[in-house]
Amino acid sequence: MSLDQPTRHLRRGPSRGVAAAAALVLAVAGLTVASPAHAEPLPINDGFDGDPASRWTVSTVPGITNVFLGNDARYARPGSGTGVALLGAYPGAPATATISRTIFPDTAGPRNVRVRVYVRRFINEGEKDPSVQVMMRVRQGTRNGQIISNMGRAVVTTANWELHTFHPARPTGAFTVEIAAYLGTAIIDDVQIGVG
Amino acid sequence: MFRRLGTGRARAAIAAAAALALVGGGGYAAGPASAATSVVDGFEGNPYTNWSTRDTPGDSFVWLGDHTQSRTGINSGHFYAPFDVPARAYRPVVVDRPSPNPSWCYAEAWLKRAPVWHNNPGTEKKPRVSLVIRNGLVVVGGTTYTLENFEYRRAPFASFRYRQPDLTVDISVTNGMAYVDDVTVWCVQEIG
Repeated sequence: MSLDQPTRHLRRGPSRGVAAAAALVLAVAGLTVASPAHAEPLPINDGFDGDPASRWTVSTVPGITNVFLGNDARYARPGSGTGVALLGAYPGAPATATISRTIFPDTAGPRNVRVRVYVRRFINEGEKDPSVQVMMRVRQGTRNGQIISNMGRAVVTTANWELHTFHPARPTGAFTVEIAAYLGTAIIDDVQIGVG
Repeated sequence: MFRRLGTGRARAAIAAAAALALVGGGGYAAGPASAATSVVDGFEGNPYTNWSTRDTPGDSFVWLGDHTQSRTGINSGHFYAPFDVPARAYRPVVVDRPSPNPSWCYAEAWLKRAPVWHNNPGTEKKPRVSLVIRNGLVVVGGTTYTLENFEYRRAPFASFRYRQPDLTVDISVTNGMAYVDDVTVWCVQEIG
């Protein structure tokens, strides 16, 4: 498929079930805003179990990127529940599938924050790209705030979960953890947000 | 090789060379730049501290950060705009005059075309990279390159007489995917 002949159609996703669920999420793409205005003590462990859509904000471009948040034991990390996040970005598209979670810590002053996440790649049928780009950021304040930690990783393998640690960040008060997939599909699980 | 669409003047000058290092950051407004006699910016550290980015999700995309395609260090600028909606990044640069005498300034960057893996062979587009340096809204120099090679090549894009310290470097990509690294602005004193 060539960029000269752009398509807005997503390739077939991990399964029809996932695709259907992703379509539901797409219906509210970019509009799902979780706003837990209450203070949260660190560390936070988020395996996308329960109701992840109430905690995570989804930002997609309908038709070319999608996000599935929810239960699917086929893709979840073994031993950590059934919740998982699938971030899918059409390999030729200049857009990301992004999730973000704003944290309102129980202390207002600056503090060193450490974020870790498990990542695995999913390859769609016929995909030629050598990797999926996974971008991990921390923003000061809410999801449009200044980027204070920025890191990208090319995830190649589909076989193993990779543990990635964000670059160190030192936000003051509320901050937002952002994870995005670009030029491919990434499976995300077990986000750990702590003091480091 | 690049195909250079615009030409910057090259002037014989020498003396106190200054190397401006643009070290940069994104998505919104960047912070104030401090004065230097030269600036070299390889997008190292947190580039979004200095750089602002403008893209249109679905039509263009900018990523400033670590990438295996960087020329030096670990970071570079990644720009992807398959059509005519530009992927942009810009940052302020403050350059001191090297001396009270007339001075001449130069700007360059290193550019590389990126493979778009899902394309069929022979259909890849050649990205257009526009490099501009301006004072406010007044363009003081700039060049547009069409990239043909998949290796980094030096791309001088401006030479201009020093007039004032406050400048902005503006990178804009259309028609493909490109990497940018090591943006440099420097001023030298002309030989009298």
